[in-house]
Amino acid sequence: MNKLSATSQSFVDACSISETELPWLNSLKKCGIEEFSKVGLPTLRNEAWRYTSLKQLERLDWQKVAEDYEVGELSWLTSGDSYKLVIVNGKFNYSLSEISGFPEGAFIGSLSEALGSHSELLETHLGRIATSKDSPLLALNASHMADGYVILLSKVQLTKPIEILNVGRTDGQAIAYHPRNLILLDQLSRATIFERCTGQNTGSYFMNSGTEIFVDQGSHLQHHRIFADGPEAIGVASTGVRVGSDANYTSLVLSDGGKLLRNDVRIHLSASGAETKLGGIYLADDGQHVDHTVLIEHEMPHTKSEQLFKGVLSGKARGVFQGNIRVHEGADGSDGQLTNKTLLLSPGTEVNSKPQLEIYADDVKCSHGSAVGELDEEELFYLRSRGIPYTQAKSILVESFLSEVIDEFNLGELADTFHQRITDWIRAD
Amino acid sequence: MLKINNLHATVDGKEILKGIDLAMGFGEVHAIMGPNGSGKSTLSYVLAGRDGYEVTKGEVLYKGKNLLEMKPEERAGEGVFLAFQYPVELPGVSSMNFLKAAVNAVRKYRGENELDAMDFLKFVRETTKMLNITDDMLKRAVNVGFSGGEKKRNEILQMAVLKPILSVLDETDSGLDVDALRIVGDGVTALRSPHRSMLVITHYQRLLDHIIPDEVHILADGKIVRSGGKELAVELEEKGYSRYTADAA
Repeated sequence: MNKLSATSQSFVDACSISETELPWLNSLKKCGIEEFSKVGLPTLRNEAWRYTSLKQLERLDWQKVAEDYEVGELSWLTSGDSYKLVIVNGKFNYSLSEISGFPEGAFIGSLSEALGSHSELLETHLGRIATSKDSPLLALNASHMADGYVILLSKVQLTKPIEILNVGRTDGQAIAYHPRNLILLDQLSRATIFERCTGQNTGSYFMNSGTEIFVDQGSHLQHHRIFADGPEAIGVASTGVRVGSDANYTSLVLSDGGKLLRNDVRIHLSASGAETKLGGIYLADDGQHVDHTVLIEHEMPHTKSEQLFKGVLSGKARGVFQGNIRVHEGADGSDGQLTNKTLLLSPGTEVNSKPQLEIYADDVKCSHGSAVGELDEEELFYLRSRGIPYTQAKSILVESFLSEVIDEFNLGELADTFHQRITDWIRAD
Repeated sequence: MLKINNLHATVDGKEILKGIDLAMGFGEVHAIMGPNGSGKSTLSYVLAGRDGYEVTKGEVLYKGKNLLEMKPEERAGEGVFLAFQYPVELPGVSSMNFLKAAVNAVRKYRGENELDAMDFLKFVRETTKMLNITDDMLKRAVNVGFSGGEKKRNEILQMAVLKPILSVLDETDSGLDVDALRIVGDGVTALRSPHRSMLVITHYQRLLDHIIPDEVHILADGKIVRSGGKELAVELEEKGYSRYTADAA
């Protein structure tokens, strides 16, 4: 066994597993700590982490979240009519959440509550969609699993969206937390979720989240996310999704915050007719590192995936995109499309784009494309020759480059929010 | 209004303009005709301020100011407009938003109030009708999927709404059929006024049937080799450029 780094060891030491809790949960956590102890935090030698180093974690002494932090004013994206969840430093906050009127028979609330009320359902899903073997970070997350949000819908079509706000907040001490979230939709359920990660002040926090999603039996989930963590935040968001028969998982992700973000998504298209559509927009400036890593597993015939990721990097930002479409043996008639484009606004930026196809089936329709470029001089000149000042011309071109992604998704009133974030980012650049 | 004195310019280290002299007054229309490679497009880009076109000698005075010191957007604000030979496609930028951004940018530069969406719509309506530009074209991305004629009409629309004082039309007739040529010609003619000057750069005489010039200059090998009235264009059409290119060579 390798010797763990001091930071990895401190995460192992910080893990306390109670013997009094549910036996299956207990073994899930133990299994997590076992897996994590074998390898520790991933290094660049780990193929999946070749372009993203977590060395920054070694510089600080990460503490557990001890007390309930005061929360500043919260801003919401959805106007009045929505269910609202607030999670502060990984802990579900009931007093700030607004979940009254949630349909009968469905569940929305904290992981700790769901463990009491829906233990059997959680036992069959938790740790099985995103497993501790998938990545060391998920193993670490499993071992520390304490709270997070849970949404359970069966035969329920929500008419109002759910807005989830993950707040990171620390007033000095560097804190680490590992929320575990679960979303289950089956039997023709439908839901739209807008989820955001935000930082409320400039302290250091390490958010290592694990989210498991199962969309089954003709259900549709729209899950749109914004990662806008604080300037000193290190975020690893691991998401495992299983899409069942004739079900659909649609997700647009925008990231513009944090010091380092790894958005790690693995989707299993596990039954015929399963579909997923993913969009990504990443904006990074001086000193930021952003990594979007997506693995799509076409496990069954007649499954479909689409990915469109576009990013804009400025200053000395570093961007990583890894997109892999894996078509398993027998998954004939699969359709997988992947496009990644990155625009570099300054010479100090660096991007690694690695699209991949692994095909073990026949008669599939798959393609991938990747492009990295700068702003087109001719287009800039055309705009400027019409009187539009340089910075505005630049902003028009960047917005139009990214709007293509937003236009692919039916965001309703939230479309403006996404456009606005882009405009604000360009203005601040 | 415009005075070009001994203008020399290089592109990629190669001298293309070799001492151009030209003077235009307010309200005048001058045509610059010349064979391919004579420097016509280079002259238009130098006037509009494109990067990569280095002026090595000479000056350009526009309304008494040094034009060459201004950024492209400042030139537009001051009233210089270039109708591109090859209008640039802007994927994802709607024509309407582009026009509005341009109009408001020059209005701001000129100290006028910016137009809101409603006022702007009213403002462009008349012009679009005259140039046979449909609402559908305004909704589409700038020049993307436009036919040659649509692109050129779109250039004239921009010219009309930006109200320039000096318009440079770079081969605006290229790629146009007879009908499109007439629409463009009428559009440009409608914009003629005692305050506005136009520099019409063209290879053929046919556009000048629609836009009657006050003076015609022949550009060959980076220099103006002959100037005259509108009859010079007709003469060129009959006899061709060969004697000028031979002279230059």
